[in-house]
Amino acid sequence: MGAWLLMRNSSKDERGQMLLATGVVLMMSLLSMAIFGVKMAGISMPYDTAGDDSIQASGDIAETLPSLTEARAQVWYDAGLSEFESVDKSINSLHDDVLHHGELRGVELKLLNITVVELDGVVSVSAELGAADRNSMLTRIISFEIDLDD
Amino acid sequence: MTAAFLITINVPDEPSISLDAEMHFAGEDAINLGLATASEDGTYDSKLAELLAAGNEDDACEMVQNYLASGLETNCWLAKDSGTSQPYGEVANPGSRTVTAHGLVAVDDHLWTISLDIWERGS
Repeated sequence: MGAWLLMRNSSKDERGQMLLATGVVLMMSLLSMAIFGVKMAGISMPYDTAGDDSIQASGDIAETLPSLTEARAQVWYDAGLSEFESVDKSINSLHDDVLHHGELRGVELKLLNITVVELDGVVSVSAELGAADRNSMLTRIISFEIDLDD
Repeated sequence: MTAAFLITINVPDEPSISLDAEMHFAGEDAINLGLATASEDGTYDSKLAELLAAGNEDDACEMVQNYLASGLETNCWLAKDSGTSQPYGEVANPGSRTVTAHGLVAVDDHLWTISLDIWERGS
C-alpha cells in the first residue's frame, strides 16, 4: 500500500512537471511571437521617406491655388457669370480637385471654411487648408485676391 | 525532470534607409527638372506644363522618365483634375518593390497630378 502511494505521488509530480514545461514553452512561444510582431510592425516605419508629404502637398496647393482659381474663374466670367459667382464656383470646384489630388498622393487635403467676399470689384478668397497623413497633420490659411476685370 | 528549449526566430534584416530615400528623391528631382525645363514658346512656366496643355501626355511622361537618374526605372501616371490616374509614356512591369513620388502641375485652369512609380533596374 505504501509503495503504491509513493508511485502515485511520483506520477503526479511528473505530470506536474510536464504541465509546467508545456506552460513554459507556450509562454516562450507567445513572447517570441510578440517580439516578432513588434519587429515586423516596425520594419516599414523608418523607411517612409514620404513622411513630409503633408508639408510638401500643402505647399504645392498654397502655391498654385491662386492662379488656378483665377484661371478657372476667368472661364466662367467669360461665359457671362459675375465676378463673385465665377470665383465662388471656381474655388468650390477646386476643392474637389484638391481632395482628389490628396487621395492620389496619400495625403488628406481639404479646403475648410472657404469665404468669398467681393469689395469694390475685387474678390477676396480665404480658406483653411488642412493636410494630414499618417505621420503629421497641419493647417494653414490661404488668402488671395482676384480681379477678373484687371 | 529537466527540459531546455531554444527558440530561434529569424527576422529579415532592415533594408537601408538611403535606398528608399534615393529612389524617392530621384523621382522628385525628375519631376522638378520637368518643371524647371523652360517652355519652348514661352507661354507656360515649364515645358512639362506646355506638353500637358497641348495634350501630349506621352511626351510629358517620357520627358520626366528621361530625367530619372540612371539605374532606375519608372512608370509615369497622370491625373487631370478629379480624373483617374492613368499611365503614359513608356510602361513596364516593376521588377521589384516600388517607391512613388508625386507632384502637382498647374496648367491654365487644370490641376494635374503626376506620379512616378520608381524601382531599381535589374533588381
